[in-house]
Amino acid sequence: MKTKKWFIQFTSLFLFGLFLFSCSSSKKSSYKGHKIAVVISTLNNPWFVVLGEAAKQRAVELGYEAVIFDSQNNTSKETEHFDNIIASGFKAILFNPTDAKGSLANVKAAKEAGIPVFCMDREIDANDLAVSQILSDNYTGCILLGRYFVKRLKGKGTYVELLGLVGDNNTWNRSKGFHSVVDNYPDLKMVAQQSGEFDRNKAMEVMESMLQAHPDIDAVFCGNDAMAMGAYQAVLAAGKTDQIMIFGFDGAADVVDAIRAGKIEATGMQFPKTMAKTAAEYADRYIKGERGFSQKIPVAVDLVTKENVNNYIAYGKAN
Amino acid sequence: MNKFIKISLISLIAIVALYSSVYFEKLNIRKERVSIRDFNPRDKAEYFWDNGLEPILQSAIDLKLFDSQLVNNPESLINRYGKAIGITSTYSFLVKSTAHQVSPNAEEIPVKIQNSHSEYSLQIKYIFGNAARDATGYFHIDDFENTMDFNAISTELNRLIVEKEIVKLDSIPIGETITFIGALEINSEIIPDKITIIPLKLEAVR
Repeated sequence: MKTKKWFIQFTSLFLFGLFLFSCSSSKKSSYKGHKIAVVISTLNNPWFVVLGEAAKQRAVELGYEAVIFDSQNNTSKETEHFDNIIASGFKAILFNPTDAKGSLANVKAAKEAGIPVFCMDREIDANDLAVSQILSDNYTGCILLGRYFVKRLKGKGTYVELLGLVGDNNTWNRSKGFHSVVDNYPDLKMVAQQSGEFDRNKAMEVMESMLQAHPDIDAVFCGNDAMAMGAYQAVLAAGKTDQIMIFGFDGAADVVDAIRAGKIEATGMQFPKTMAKTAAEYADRYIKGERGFSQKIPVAVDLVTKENVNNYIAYGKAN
Repeated sequence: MNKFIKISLISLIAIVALYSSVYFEKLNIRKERVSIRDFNPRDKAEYFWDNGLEPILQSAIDLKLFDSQLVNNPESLINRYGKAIGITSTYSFLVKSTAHQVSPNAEEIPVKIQNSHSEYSLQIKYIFGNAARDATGYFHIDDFENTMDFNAISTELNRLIVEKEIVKLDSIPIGETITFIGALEINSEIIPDKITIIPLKLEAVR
């Protein structure tokens, strides 16, 4: 009887100890195997491929399984991804929205499902849905670009502008930053402005039309580097590379090379790897219990010209 | 039982009537709608200019001190007086000094400091950028629904600088001493040779 009682007590104590131990070790490894979703507006643009891959890489380094979703610049496709993510038990979303307003409902759905969202590069028009939004300071970057534009054109001439996607706040931050400088100079005249949708091929078509209507322009300002390369193709085909200066924005590999070769004047170097890394790290900290993140975190943009291009590589600094 | 059925029916009718007569909207959605409709950067900037700017200007540091610290102790200068937003190496400061009026058609007025390390000028034409907004530290990016609204504040402040301060230069004779408080930005990774100051307050010394 005594032995039986002793045995029961010992076994209970042993099991209790085992239980405590397994709780402790499961807490240490509780984040391993958790999934983080990386939702990117489009993987058709190398810049966004870098953003997505960098976010995934950092999430994996932090111990998570990470999956990239391509929204193909389509808000409906993005909604399908969010429905899938919410149903599949992902712990956080690193998100590059397709549309500042159109993406609100998706972020709201994730928030209601208890999944934190961290926006990268593009913002949504709300400051109480995403946990944090890590964004390029496009406006200030284009102020720098605008000042260089004025300097290169010596304050006079005619130019055209290729805008990005009209539903993306980045389009307007860049355009407004640029115009906040350039519009002060009455001898600098914009003769046409049209959306190239941030797409190289579309930009080439638009530029070809603009050159038909305005063959004597001195420059073109493009809201991203993919459009700058498309514009360059059109200008090259028209035989006007000596006449027309081209300005882009992003810091893409082909434009950095083109600046070095004197084909493109300047670009605004964004840092997608910094944004992606920060978003992944914030998600990790959030999952581990931290709160109180800043809602909007702008990341500075550098001006890259032929004078300083050797300090830069694609999407970042040389050292 | 009849009494029970009566009370239940009356209650049901009352609930249906009440539900149909009220409109429920989540607070965050309402705030979103209202803020989009009501945001006016001009009003916000003017309110700040009239009510919030003057006390903030009192914290401006002397340009001589700024210049000396920039070379001798930049980290301390930045930590104590610099303001930055987000992930950046650009910091903005409020500074004060004096200058002498030049031609009214000039783009800038040189600001001379004895033994200065950098060359300073007061920008009096083509006012743009975020120095005025960021150096005051009054506007916080998280208070704005999107960055376009936040940047619109810069545009309006720059307009007010031209309309309220730079216009004073029209009546100040060439050579007259001007005291000013202004905003400047520097990149902490490169000490610039030339630094431009955006005026926030200008006064002739008579």
